Amino acid sequence: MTWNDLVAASPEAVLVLTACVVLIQDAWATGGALEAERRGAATTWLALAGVCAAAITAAPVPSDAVAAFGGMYVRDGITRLADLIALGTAGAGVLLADAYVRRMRLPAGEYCALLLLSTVGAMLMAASRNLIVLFLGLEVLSLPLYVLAALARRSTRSQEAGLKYLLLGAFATAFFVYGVALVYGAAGTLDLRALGAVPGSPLLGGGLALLTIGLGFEAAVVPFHNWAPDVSEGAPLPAVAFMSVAAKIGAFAGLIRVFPQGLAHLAPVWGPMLQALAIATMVLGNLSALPQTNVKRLLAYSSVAHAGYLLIGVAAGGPAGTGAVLFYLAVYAAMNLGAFGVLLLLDRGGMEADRLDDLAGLAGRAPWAAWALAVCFVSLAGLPPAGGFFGKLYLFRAALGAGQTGLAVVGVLTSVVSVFYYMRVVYTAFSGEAPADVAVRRSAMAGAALTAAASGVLFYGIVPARLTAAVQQAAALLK
Amino acid sequence: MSAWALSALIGLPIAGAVAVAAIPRDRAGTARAVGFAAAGLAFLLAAWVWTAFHPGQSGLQFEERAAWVPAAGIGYHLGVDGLSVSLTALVALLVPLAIVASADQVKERARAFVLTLLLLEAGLLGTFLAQDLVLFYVFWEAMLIPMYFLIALWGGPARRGAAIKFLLYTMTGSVLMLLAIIAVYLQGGRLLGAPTSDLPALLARPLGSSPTVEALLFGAFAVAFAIKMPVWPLHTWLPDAYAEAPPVVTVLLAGLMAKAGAYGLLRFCLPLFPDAVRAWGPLLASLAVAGILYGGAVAWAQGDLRRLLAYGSLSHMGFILLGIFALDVESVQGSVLQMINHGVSTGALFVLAGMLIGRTGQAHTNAYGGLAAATPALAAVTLIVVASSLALPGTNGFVGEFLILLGAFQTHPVHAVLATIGVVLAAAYLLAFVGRIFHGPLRAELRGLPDLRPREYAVLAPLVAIIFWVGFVPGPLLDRSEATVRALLKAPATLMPADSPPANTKFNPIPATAASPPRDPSSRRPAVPRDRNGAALDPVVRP
Repeated sequence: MTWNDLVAASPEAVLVLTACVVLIQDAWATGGALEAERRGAATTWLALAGVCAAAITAAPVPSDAVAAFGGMYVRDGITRLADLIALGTAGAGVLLADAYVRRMRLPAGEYCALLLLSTVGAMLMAASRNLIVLFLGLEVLSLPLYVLAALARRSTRSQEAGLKYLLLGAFATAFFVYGVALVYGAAGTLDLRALGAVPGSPLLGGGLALLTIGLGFEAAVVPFHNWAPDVSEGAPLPAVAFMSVAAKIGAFAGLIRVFPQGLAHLAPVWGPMLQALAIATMVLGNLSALPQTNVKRLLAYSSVAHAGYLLIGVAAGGPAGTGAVLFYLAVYAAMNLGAFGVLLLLDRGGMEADRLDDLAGLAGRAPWAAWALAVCFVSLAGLPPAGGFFGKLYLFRAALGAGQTGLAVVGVLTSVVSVFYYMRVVYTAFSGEAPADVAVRRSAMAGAALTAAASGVLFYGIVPARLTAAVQQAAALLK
Repeated sequence: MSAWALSALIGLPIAGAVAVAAIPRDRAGTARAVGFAAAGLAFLLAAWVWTAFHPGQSGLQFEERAAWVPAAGIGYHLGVDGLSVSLTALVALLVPLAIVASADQVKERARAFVLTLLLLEAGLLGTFLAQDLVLFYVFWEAMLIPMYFLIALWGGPARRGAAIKFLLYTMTGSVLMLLAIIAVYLQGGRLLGAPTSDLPALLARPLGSSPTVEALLFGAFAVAFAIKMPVWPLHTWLPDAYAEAPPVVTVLLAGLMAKAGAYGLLRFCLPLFPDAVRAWGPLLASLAVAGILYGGAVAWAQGDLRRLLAYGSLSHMGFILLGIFALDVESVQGSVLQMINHGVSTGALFVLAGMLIGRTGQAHTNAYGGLAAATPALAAVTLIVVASSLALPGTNGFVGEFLILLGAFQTHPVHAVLATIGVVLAAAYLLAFVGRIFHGPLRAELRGLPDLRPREYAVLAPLVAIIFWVGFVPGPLLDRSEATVRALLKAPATLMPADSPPANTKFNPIPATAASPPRDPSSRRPAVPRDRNGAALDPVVRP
């Protein structure tokens, strides 16, 4: 490892360091108590400072792809954008959790440290040019997520969620490793650039299918999505908000690195497979979300459906598809965090207010939160003037440009289905009487994160020029 | 000022909405006043644009261009031409009137109502002004959300179902149009070298799609617009939405949103897919006739006065569709004019329905009877508006429907003949409507109902004025659209031979091949009924 390697990987290094400092600081401040009576905001500020420092190191536009660690790690436009999206998610995750963690007496230090480490995993996946690094990133991403899901020690639902996630996740990771082994057997290399010259073979095809299972599990692609609703329902809200976005960033960055970038020459092999998965994911995700009355479950199925939309871009491939995926990830991070952020403000007798009815009458007592909710859900539905519209526009453009009309048709029709359940939530928030047992817990930090998310969603919808140019530039590196 | 007039026109309602949001919730009166001020300013601006518009030019005026998403070739491009200039003014006129009318009809959460109405206005104006496909789509979809909330939050007992039905129905059509827009954009990119969604740039040369692809693209656009109009058989969302929405909102649904569909057909389908339009035009004309007859017959059978008017509106929209797909200069001119007329007269009918329902709380015509004795002014205004809707000479409806039938008769004689049956049906259901509500013995429980109040006069007066103004002097409206319509149909730019007699004989249908110097104002008013002898025509109103 040379100095240059460390410089290239400095965003990850900064985050890992911050995670360690946060753990120590929290242990010091609370005296090691798991459920501290009083807790300052120092942990949150420390974690935020780390995220900002990492963002500063990740922000410069690389003039050319910078390879490090013997070509296993690469820092290019895609890495940069994925890093920035992941860091934004981490920052929002820290801010949103602050009040909740105190209210529920969760260990703040562990929460922040695990969140930061998980972010490192997503960033590592985006920077991988070798299947081993991709695997490492996947593990670093998912292990902290298992713990985050089970963070509420006294909640059996949370424990159940963590255990389910761990068992199924371990299973999926095993598939991934086996896929890596098969690819190595077929190609004799794990370097993604070298794989670009390897002719297709049944063994390689089998390996790719297994890789897809591992990444598809993390992204909650049908039929590997069954964990998502259960884990979402049981895990603590801020953890769900974070993992629903971070896992997608990592998984889709990995999918981009492997398929459109690494194995572009084998597109006729993996293209139909990904298209079929995308169609199944969009259809099942949206249909399953229709009858949900628990907003956490609803958003979990919605995140399954969005995995399907993102897969459109991967299946379409090329610069257009890759750019569309990056744009959509940025918008998705903002709108999904915003949607969960509104739920975080509510509290039903010391519990999470995650039933649809708990949102009733929100516009009457927290108008700004209700507006943020409306903006984020309208964006999730893909309607203008929110960013989700441009995200979907670019995805469908990529699909039509690649001649995948069927995929685009399924995509737009399932979007119409999604309007039904998204608008039901917004309608609930703007009508009816607020239930007496649900309180609105205002918090400056959560409010700031919510404002940032909602205004980001609107900004991407009204002034998408800069982000569009950035993703195009990043995706143009891909030939 | 003309450099940013159109942006200001869209910006005023949005600024008004922001201002209304800043007003405390319990100050409904202030909110309404601020909303009215914003919408009123927008109207003044739109009226200025309408007056300053140069008739006789087919191209865009008041054009504004700015880069929006340059990396993707999507631009911010606004402009008005003959198709949109009067519609823009109509939007800007009806919204402030709706805000005034809502003062009596919407008591609950009045501030949010005004705010949503203003956002809807911005969406509608943008839809009529956008000259970029993606920008158009953004406005087109953006107006759905305010409309959804206007129905879902302030509607009748079954509002939720009606609102979501409206939303899903219209969205299904428009998402397929989105795909067609992307396909046109990609095809244009292949032709022009760089992808663009700018409509004039895409129209500069034929798209060169294969006939099948062109038919599919045309179908996707046409279905979206047909649902919005709506065209039979895609109308099933209409009765629920029209009947459940608060009457002021129905004014905007029927008066303005339906026009967005017809406008879209003219703006996008006709120039982008000329071959498909020629191939599928007869089918759409037949659907139009089916809608005219179906809507008329069903309206006749309705007891709920909002449903009666809803189906009547469907029937009248059929005339507009017939005029468009007759593909004749006169018929398309008639359609463009009839869009304004329909907006005014159907809008006025729903305003009146709202006043009736607001007075009695009853929506069924059986609950009424002999009201002319209690509210003579309301009865008189209703009669005038009904006369306009019936296309009686001397009112605006006559000019529009006459031109449509005249043009359609030249290209689709069978359709035109069948459509005239629709005119008879309109007489049947509308006169039955007037008869059941205003004539006969006055019901005891209706005794003492208040007649029109000053505020209601203020809402109705401009609409009645337009009915007669367009009825007698349709020239200014027809002048504004003619050059654009001719360019759209690639018809020769002039009408009459120089030696043809002036068009002042009674109901003189000017042959389409005729021509005359274009600057002579009388020549640019073809087939305008010059006869102002109302005496012979009036008795038809009273059966």
